[in-house]
Amino acid sequence: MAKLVLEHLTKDFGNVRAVNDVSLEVEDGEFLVILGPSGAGKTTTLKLIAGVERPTSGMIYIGGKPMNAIEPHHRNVAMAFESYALYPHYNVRDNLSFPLKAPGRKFAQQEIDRRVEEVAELLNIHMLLDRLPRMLSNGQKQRVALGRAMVREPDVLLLDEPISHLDAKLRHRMRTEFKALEAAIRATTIYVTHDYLEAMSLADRLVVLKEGSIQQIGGPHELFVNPANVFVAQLLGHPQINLVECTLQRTNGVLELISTDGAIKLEVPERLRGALADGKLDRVLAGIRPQHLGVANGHHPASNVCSGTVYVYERLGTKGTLTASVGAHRLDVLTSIEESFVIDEPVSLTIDHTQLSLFDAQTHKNILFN
Amino acid sequence: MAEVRLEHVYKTYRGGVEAVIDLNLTINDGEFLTLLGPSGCGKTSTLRMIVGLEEITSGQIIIGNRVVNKLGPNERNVALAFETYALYPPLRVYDNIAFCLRARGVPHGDIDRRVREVATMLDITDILDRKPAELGGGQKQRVSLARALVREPDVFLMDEPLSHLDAAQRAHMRSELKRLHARTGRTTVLVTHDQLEAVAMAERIAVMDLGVLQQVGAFNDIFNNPVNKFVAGFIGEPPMNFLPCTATSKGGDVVLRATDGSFSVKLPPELAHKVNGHSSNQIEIGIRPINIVAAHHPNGNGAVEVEARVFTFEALGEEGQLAATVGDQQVLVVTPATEHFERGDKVWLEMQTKRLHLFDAKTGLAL
Repeated sequence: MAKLVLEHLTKDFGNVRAVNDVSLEVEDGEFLVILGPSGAGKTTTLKLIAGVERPTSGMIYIGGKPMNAIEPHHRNVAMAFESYALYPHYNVRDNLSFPLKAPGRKFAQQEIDRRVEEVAELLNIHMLLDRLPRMLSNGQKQRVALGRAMVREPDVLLLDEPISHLDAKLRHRMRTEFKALEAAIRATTIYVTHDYLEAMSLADRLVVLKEGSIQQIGGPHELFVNPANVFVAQLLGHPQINLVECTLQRTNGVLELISTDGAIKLEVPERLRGALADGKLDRVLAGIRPQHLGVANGHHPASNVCSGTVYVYERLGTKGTLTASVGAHRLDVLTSIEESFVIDEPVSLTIDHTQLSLFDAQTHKNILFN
Repeated sequence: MAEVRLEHVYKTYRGGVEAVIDLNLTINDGEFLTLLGPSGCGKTSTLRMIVGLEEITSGQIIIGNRVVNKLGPNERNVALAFETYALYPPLRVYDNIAFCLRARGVPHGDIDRRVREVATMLDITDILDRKPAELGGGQKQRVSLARALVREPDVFLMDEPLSHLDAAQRAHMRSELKRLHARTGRTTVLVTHDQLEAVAMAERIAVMDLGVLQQVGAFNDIFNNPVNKFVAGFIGEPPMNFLPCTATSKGGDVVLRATDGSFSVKLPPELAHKVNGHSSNQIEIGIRPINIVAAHHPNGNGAVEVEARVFTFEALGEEGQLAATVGDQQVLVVTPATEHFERGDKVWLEMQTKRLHLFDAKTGLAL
């Protein structure tokens, strides 16, 4: 176990910058998740930590020691991949002990047995030690693959999209299983994924990466509620956050947002007024999460309400999603799963303006982060 | 446009496999119906019998007011869009769409008008001159749909039309297909094994299993009043929780005790009478993850609640998901975004009595 520090880490492949000035401190024993779309530089970052790739510039420290000049097998970093990559003709015990028997690692048989038993116990696979991989379920294979990384008692454990190759239903189950295993992993862990639900579920802290650069670091809830920019806001949440371009207007001393098509009028909530007080910004993107929109029935106040027509309605999982055409916008609204709407019928929506996020229309940065 | 009626339809394949057994189903004129079931449930056989690609072993299929049993596929005026797009590779998109109209000798001017009309509807006017090899998956899917729709069929059938698309394209096509149906008002049947897709798209859903129609109805009917455990467990995500119990009645009161001994609950009168009138005392409770309220303290107050321990809790932004251990079992609960639980916490799971389902443990039928 050890603290991991990345300082101004950059990696170029030819003239493509895969990792761009990444600085990050991962505390001893922390479970950190790196979230980003494909091509964001997630896997390259892991490879730099493991030593499989050399950084173009910047430093890597594990337990306070610089790692840049140290060979991968001397770093005490273990990596588990997307595919389980178990040896099909070895039973679980031999798969687990394999990394300890590699040339150059001289562990006594007793020590090997102790570690294998301990990890097997932790991951609840001790009753499977004599089985071959083909006799295991996906969940069990997953645990063996994880066990094989843990048995080396690494300082840092790197997990690269360990469950993303599974289909949606199985992935949901495996996520819950993984969540239950999290407590058993004591190494400083970095988990890489492109799935925001995995990231939200598993992370102590979450790092969002885009085109090699860190966009935001923080607790999952913090990022969900207070995204640093439009990219982070859109990456977290399904359906995606609604974005409405607005101009700021001061009428009768009240600060209001009017959408550029004139169809939506929103009051600026108390907590955001300070950031707009200097009057420098006149165009913003209002970010409204689908769960903060509702279907209005009854009286209509003057603002925080808008009208349009039903574009489409879908029931998905535990909720329904109403997509409404309002002016030039399509707004997604989360509803109870038992609602029904008819396509092209009129509909009025209420907007919980207190939950708004506002972004600079030019830079796409959250106005609270300026 | 037309109504489709299946009356006592059977399909038995050579070798005795009964793919469809006594199917009675009416697809109303202009409605969007989904035929849903796991693979091997008979849904594709049913579709193929409607289209005329498969002979009917017995029973009748009526489209409009015509019995179509003896009619060939080309005489039924139904169109089928496949899972695979089956486009002609050497032909341009335009010619792929126009192909069947030409084969039927439709006048030249009409062909052009109809091809352009359907291309506009599906938003593919800009790719009419391309060859299939130059198209993406979503575009091929649209062309395949256009080719089926250009015939202006009475009934439009789709067999797993979205399964080749990636998640984003699938979501987009789902809305497009629904809007297309709203605009054309054409009788539409979609076959799928994916309950999420069925629930997302259909006005009515027909659930099949092992060749037998289990239940047909609007989403709310099926979701709230499933006729058996299969339908209850198949529709809904995350799926319904089932808890096997033994019932004992004393003076009108009914107590359900978990088979693993982990809890016992007294049923409110409106549910108790269902159990009292039933022959077996082996009952399964069915409750959906969204119909359980998890709390740190017992509600008391006569609520149907069981004590449990938090196995995992995930805060997922819009909502939370709690897996709680009750005896030997795990119960899944969907919680509001504002709640928080820690692994190992004691929790009380209150089941909304109005949404509690009771099934006979042996037959699986709802009480």
